[in-house]
Amino acid sequence: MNDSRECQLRREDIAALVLGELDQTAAEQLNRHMNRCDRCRDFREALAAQEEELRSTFDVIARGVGRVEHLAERFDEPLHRPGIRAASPLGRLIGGVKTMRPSRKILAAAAAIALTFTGLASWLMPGRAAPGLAFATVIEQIRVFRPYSCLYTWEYEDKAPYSYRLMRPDLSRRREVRPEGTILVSDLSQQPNRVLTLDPARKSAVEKTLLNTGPRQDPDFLRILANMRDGQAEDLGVKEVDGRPAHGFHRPDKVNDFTIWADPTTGLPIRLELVQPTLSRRLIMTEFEFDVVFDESLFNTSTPQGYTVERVERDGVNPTEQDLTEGLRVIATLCGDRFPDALTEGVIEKTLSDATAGTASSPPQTTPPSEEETRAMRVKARRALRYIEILKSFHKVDDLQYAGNDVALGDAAVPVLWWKPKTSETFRVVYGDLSVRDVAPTDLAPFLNK
Amino acid sequence: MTKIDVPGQSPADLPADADSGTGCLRAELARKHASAVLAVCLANTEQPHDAEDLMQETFVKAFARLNGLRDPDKARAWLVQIARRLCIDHVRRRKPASSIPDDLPARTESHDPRIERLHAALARLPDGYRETISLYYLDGRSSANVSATLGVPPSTVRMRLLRARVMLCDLLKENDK
Repeated sequence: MNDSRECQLRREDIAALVLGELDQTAAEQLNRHMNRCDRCRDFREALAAQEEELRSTFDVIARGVGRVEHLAERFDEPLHRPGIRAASPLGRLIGGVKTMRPSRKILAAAAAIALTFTGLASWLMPGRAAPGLAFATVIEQIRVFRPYSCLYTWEYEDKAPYSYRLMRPDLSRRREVRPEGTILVSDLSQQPNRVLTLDPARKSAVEKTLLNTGPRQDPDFLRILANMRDGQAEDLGVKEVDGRPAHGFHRPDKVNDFTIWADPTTGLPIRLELVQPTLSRRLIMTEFEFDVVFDESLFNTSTPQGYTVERVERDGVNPTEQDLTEGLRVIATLCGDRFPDALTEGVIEKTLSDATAGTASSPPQTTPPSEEETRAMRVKARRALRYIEILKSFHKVDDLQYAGNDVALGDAAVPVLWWKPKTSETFRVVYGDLSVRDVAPTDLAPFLNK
Repeated sequence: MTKIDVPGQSPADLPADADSGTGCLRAELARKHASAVLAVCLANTEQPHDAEDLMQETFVKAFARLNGLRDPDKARAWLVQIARRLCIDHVRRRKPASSIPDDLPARTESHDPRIERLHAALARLPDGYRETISLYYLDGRSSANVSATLGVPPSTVRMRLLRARVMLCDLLKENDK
């Protein structure tokens, strides 16, 4: 049955199947054949596997389309538009700094002069209406990553807003120019990940290596918005935003509540607002520049010459709730199967020190732990503290309380640690047996403020 | 000369010689047809990194000659024709595209090995197949769109697309060896 000539003839049908170009009847017939024909099945699998790579490669090529949109903008730009960066098209075309090639200046000038007049006429026209913009167009513009820079502003409930200039050449690297004058360069494409903090005023640098990490992507909110699948966007219409006409869309989900304002003509973002109620913070991204050609040296994580360097190593993987309970188990075990009166670095170091000196109260150690065992226990205990720190400082949980003093390890009835996540009605409670449960406030009441 | 003052009207529906509407028309042309022009340039250049430059050169020429576009419904065919001519000239001259304003963003991924590999395989496809498959993947993965862009019957596009896809599979596998 597996006649090779017959299979050769079916190859185009298999391609049609993979591309979704085969009608249902033919597809069913072909699938029946492939159930018994290894050769055709292998070809379909090869095509399907290749298809994904092919599409992603064409997606990369498709990024080039953005260059024409910039071109259209240049042709449209007037000499002066109130509220917009007052650079003339002539100036922009002749005086561009990022990718200007001197040999093309004359042609650029000629084009600019011609465009300036048509653009000016277009903008001076009374009753000019912004063309309708679909949310899908905005998403299409940000679906494929474009190198960009923007002003990144975090607003918090309990402290002043914090703004910095963000540069993203790709999904793994970033450069932040902070208001206090420091510069942060993060490169998550390296194994392990590296973060460089420069203080040009003091000529000092901190090179941080994030242990236990490999190449990964840094969260990008434009991409998170583009990849949201469920729900609908609310059309907010056109209004002036940051001195420009902009078409807005509101797109919320459980964690991220996005509002994006985009250029009505190009669909490129002008302003992105993200509210994260569970983290009590709001992010505002403005002053976007897309398809920026960055100098690679901006993202070098090696300290420049002339700086004093401090090198630090940190665990680059955030601890989980499981790390919390594992660390608590280590601490309680070192304290003789009872939880200590407090969870601090000092307590951990003292219990470790007692254990290595053979003076720990219980369990009786026939031999003190080796240096390696001590190091492993320290790492686990510290990860528990780090988890608690993240709950407090990042997740800003309410009512975090430790009440483990002298509770026996294994006691399933007595809570040792609890907190109330933002927007949650229940407490998250760790019991003496290290089980973790969601508990109603009334059930926890007997232990509160004990 | 026609005065344009029609809020909400699609710029693509406006007469091309209404110079007060040309700003919108340019943006609309870029938004609607840049992918197709890029596909045609990709299919007709010897070096993948020239495709973006030629796409831009196509639009520079088109934007400067909007009066030549009498029927906005034929904008795509008009742009594709300009792109093909520029590609032919470019291959004859064997020199980079020249009339691109310089402060525009540089090429996207000029040295991405995946693009080089794909372009090398595309270059070995027969005439007509290259444009078909490039248009298919760069312009919405719809054979109906390809048919409309090239002015070729849907059955011909389907035949070229499937044959090109099978050939591409073999060529890419061959390159992997």
